[in-house]
Amino acid sequence: MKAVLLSGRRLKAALCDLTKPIKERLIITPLLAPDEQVSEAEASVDVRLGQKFKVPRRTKLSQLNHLDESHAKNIERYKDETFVRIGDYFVLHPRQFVLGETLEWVHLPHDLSAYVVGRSSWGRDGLIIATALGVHPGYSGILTLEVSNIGEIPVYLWPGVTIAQLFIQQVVGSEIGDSDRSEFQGSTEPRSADAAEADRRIIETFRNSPWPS
Amino acid sequence: MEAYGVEIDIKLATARQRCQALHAHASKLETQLYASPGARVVKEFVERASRQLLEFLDVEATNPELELLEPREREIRIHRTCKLVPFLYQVLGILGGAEINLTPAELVLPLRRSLRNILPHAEILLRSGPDLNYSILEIADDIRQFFSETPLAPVTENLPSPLYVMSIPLVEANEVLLHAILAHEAGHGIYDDKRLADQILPRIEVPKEQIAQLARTIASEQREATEQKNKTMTFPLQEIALRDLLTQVVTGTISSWVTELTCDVLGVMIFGPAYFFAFIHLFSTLAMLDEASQSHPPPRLRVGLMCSCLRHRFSLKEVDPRIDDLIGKWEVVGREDVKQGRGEFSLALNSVSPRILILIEEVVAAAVPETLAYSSSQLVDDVNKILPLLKENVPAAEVVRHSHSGLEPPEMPHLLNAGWVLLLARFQEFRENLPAQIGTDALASQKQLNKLLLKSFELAEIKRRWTEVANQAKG
Repeated sequence: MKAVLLSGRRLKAALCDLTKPIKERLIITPLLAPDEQVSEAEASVDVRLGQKFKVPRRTKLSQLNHLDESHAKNIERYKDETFVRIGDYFVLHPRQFVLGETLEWVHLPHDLSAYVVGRSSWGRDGLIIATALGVHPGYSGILTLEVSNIGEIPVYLWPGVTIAQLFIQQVVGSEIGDSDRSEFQGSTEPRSADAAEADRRIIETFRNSPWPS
Repeated sequence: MEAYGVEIDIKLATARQRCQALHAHASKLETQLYASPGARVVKEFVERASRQLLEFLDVEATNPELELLEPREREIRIHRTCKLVPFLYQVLGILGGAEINLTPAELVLPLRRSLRNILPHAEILLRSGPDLNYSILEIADDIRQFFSETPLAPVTENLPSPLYVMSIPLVEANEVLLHAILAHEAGHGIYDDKRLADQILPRIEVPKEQIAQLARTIASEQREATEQKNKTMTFPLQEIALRDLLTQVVTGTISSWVTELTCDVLGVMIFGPAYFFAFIHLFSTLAMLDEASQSHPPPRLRVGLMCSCLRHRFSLKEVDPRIDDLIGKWEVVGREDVKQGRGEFSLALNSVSPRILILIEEVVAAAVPETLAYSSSQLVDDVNKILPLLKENVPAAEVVRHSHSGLEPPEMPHLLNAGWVLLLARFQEFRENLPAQIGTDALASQKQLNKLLLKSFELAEIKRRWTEVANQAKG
């Protein structure tokens, strides 16, 4: 499979095309200022910071050990959910980490994929937003953003500001029915994941018998 | 006399301490996040009132002119103001359960917008509670009334009116579709504000003759019982007193029933079939259909009235034959005679005749302008435009309404109706479209539908508000 990056003009055309069945449409909704968020001169869509945050509750969480299955499954319970309305703010302190979300719901047809890149203007203030987050064809949901402040000064996070860019590319060779099978599919809020789910059993085996017999 | 002096000093000191504690507690809530604008109103009111009360008590403690009063008079004077302290504690208690994480915050602004379409100055405070019950309470009037006899009455001047406290069950906070029941609660606000009782109640005939007959029967039964036992029985109530009592009970029952029935019709008017579907989901115990109480009419009567209203207002066949069929089945239930219960309820039931039910529909239709009512064409449009998005697991934040305009955010009743039609008529298609990761069993699918609707509320409201603010900024 090879991928072709969509231009701003192609993106606009795809977003405005309401003739296709919903499943086959590129939907990024709501676009609050479409002309500013999708510029013909650029090859990306600006996405905004959403209203929900998940903050790890440090006082209840002793460690993150992904080999411990029960711990990995309970990770969601050790996060406080906070809803910050547009017009209000969330202060992210130095070295603090929080899960945020895109305001927009992203729906990709089977032949488009995307990757999310934090806007450099935020990065220059010490804010790191996701790290090359890949979005697979067929994904439908909000995008969870991993946000950390690696600077020295607390940063106000204002829901509604443009925070990242979405680069969308055409996937050649995919077929209808190919669809993202990630556990994030259909997310309506920021979500954690069981990072070691796929590898847990094999690492566990290594752990129990470190030397070949 | 001396005891009064000590009592006054203690009362003043206690009231000042409590007032300080109240003010400190209210100030601490500054860091708390609330979902509703009404919560801030309540918090600021308590802060303002407790501060002014404290100032008043400080002056009172050192006012030399008060020495001229008799101790008893002075005690009454102090008490009149001190009684505000426990009242303010109660008002502050309303904020419990209104925190942003205990309420579906996404729902608050769309709900407020729907209510304000009809009552432009209404403010709401949505809270969740441990009771499995939905309720609404207007508090601004009560607060004003309570303060009116005190020197602090001016502190209530800035309170919005009406100020509604709406409570939803905590365990169902995210069951968005069931929240369509709030249309009935909003109906209570409209019923009071537009004084609909004045247009309906005077037209109801209280069955005086039947009440007299019932009073005669009860009195005669009591007389017979007394004559037979003759020793331990109390003296029977006089027939005339019994008649007065029964008249009071029956008129009270009729008044409460008419309120509930009118609010049901208001619910259907402003939220369409979504309100009815939420109602039957919450009151679907068929065995209780004929159970009445002094405050609520038998559900069968309510079902019958709402079905009739739905038939008059909506072309349900056009929406979906399965929805039409479902309403048809409930119509049959509603058309059956209510099984007669206790005497006074039978009398109330006879008074709320079919003529009165028609009158209720007419009064409501006149009270809610057609532009604000949820119409049949809107329902069809919502099923054609919103439902397909939800069916494909996409929140409906923007839809094409008219060919000449761009994408528009749908309002609360539109989303709820599309959601209910999807659940009741096309749920299988929705389930089949869901990714396997979400889970394809009915419960997981229903949970996802509720989440999608909540997301739709959130995103549609942001879109609408953004457009409004952008237009304001343009001047």
